[in-house]
Amino acid sequence: MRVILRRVLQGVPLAMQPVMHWCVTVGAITAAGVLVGWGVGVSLAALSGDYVVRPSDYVNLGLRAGLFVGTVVAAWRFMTRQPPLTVRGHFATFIVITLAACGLICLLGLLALLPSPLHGLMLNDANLAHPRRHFVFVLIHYAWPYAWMVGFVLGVRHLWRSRPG
Amino acid sequence: MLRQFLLLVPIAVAALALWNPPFSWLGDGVIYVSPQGDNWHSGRSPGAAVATIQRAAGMAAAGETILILPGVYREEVRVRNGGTLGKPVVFRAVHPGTVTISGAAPDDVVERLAWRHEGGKVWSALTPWPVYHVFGDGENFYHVRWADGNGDNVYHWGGTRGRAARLRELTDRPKAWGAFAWEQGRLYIAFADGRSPREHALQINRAIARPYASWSIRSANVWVEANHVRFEGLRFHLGVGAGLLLWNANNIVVRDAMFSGAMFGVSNFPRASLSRNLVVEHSHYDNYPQYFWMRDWLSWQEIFSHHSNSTLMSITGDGVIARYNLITHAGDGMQLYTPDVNVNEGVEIYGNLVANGTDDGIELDGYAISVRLHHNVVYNFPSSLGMSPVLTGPLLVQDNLLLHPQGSGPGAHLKWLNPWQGRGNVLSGPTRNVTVRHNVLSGKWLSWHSTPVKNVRVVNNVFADVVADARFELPAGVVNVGNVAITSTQRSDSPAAACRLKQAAGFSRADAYRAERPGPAWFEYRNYPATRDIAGLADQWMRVASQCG
Repeated sequence: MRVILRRVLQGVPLAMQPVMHWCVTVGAITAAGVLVGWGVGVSLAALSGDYVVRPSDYVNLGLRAGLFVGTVVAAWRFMTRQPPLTVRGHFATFIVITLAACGLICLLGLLALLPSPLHGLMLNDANLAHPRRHFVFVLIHYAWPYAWMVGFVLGVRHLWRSRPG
Repeated sequence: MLRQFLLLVPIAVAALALWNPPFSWLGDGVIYVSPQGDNWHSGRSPGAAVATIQRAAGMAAAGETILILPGVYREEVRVRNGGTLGKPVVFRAVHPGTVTISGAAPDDVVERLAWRHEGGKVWSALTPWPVYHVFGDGENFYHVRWADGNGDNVYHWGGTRGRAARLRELTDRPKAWGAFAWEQGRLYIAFADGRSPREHALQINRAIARPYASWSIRSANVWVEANHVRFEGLRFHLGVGAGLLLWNANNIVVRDAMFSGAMFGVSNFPRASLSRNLVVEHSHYDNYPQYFWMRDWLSWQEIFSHHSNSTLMSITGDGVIARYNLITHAGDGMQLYTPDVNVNEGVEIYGNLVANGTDDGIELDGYAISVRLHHNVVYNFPSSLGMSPVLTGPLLVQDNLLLHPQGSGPGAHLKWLNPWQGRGNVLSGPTRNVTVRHNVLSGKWLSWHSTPVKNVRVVNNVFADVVADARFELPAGVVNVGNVAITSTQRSDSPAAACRLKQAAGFSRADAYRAERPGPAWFEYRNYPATRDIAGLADQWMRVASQCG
């Protein structure tokens, strides 16, 4: 990020540098979000059985998430006058918390592998989503939103506690 | 302080973008969609319409109506914003019947296909993705899914080689209809006249996941993943697997819809949860010319093994109502399953016209708890009502007309079979708790049975033959009381004739049935090849239905 910023800011008038700084930070993190979203979407699409995942849904989610995180990072930089690298640690914490929450909910999703009351309902379990493939569905529908929520709350709490002064 | 406050503004905006909440309070409860629209628009007026139904579905909140302007929308829609009790999200065509949600590939993809003559009627071209459904000149093409013509296991796809040769073999037969196979990246296709596909109107599916594999339906025009949603006046075309796939959806209403180019019109097969409170009414499904394949060209087995599931709805759930629908050129007209626990409302099927099919008019597979079938006309199906099996019941079959026309193939009206009998499956067991009364069954065989039944009553029905060697036997153990058998007296294969027989037998009741015209309100039977030949049948049913109750 620092290298990108240095190169971009070379030759930019001093008055414009904060704006450019803001744009590059938000743009780079949004692009990263799109990339991660695409990767997650394609991976889930490859994994999905009964429920067919659309990678574009995750690109969209990555775009919006990247835009949000990028904006928070850029604003943090302006509020605290710290270079982005200082923020990187907080951002990494945020990501780790989100992924950890996601993993926890994935583990809960593994319960779908067990014979469930849902699968006892029908004459013929074949009419229901296959339990192993159902796991992917549970992951998609329940893990991501809750994980994001938990990650967001804990991430903001972490940032607040580690604010300077 | 001001600086920090100002910095919160972009954060708030970005948070809103991330959250993506509906802004229903900004509008008047309506979102417009138009092919000429733009997804950056607000959708609050026809002039500011959004371009895709998906965009509108993403913007909608409870109680809002998405008004869709005429056009073809080539998209796969995922509905994730539902409504609440009394405040559904409504998808409505501004002019019913003028909106098509299509799974067809873009025209330029089809135009770019380089065709090669393979001999006989068969032509081939490399395609950019697997082809699972073909529409030629407005007709569904027979899909040769495997080389083996027998197809003992319906769900077995067999090897990937030999389909093209099998296509050639089938289409060399006299009176062949259009057919296709997809093998090794290449689409093989044969039109009935044997001419190049370039000389015909051709549609193929766009790139999709394999639509049906090992008990799964994996492609649809619309995936419904929300509750309290209504669909009104829409056409669903080339969804391949299903028109509407209910993944996690309750309280859904489908009205005035038309389904074509899909195995199922409406399905929740498989599903994330049971579907409760589903209404499908005044809708039309066809897989034209599926019945003509059997009449003119292929054996029953060849059709059953490849297209047994062409059906308006394949639903597991309770609180299901299917009424006033029009189904033609189907495999099974409707397939209904009910679970064994938590049944609230059962299933109600009435007022439907189900005509010209290749398997069961209405099929119940399973427990069939609290199911009522009444005032339906099932015309020209090998089996009018499939009870295969009805493990629990109660099932009431009352005031229906089950008709085999003269000249049709072999058939029986009441099918009591259990394909799982003796296999140690949970589905093993006799059909039980069924009452069949006040129906007219006109045909060849009254019953086709090979598995035991318990507590089944067949009372006060009219059986009439359409051939000299008709068979009126019922399974052993059936309570057979008050039925009237009429042999070779007069033609009895039309609704009017059947109603006359019922009146003569004294089984018509004063509490006349309030008939409604089957099919979408906007639908003209005579304008569509799939329904042209039953327009007279429908007119006649509407004239006599109220006296036939």
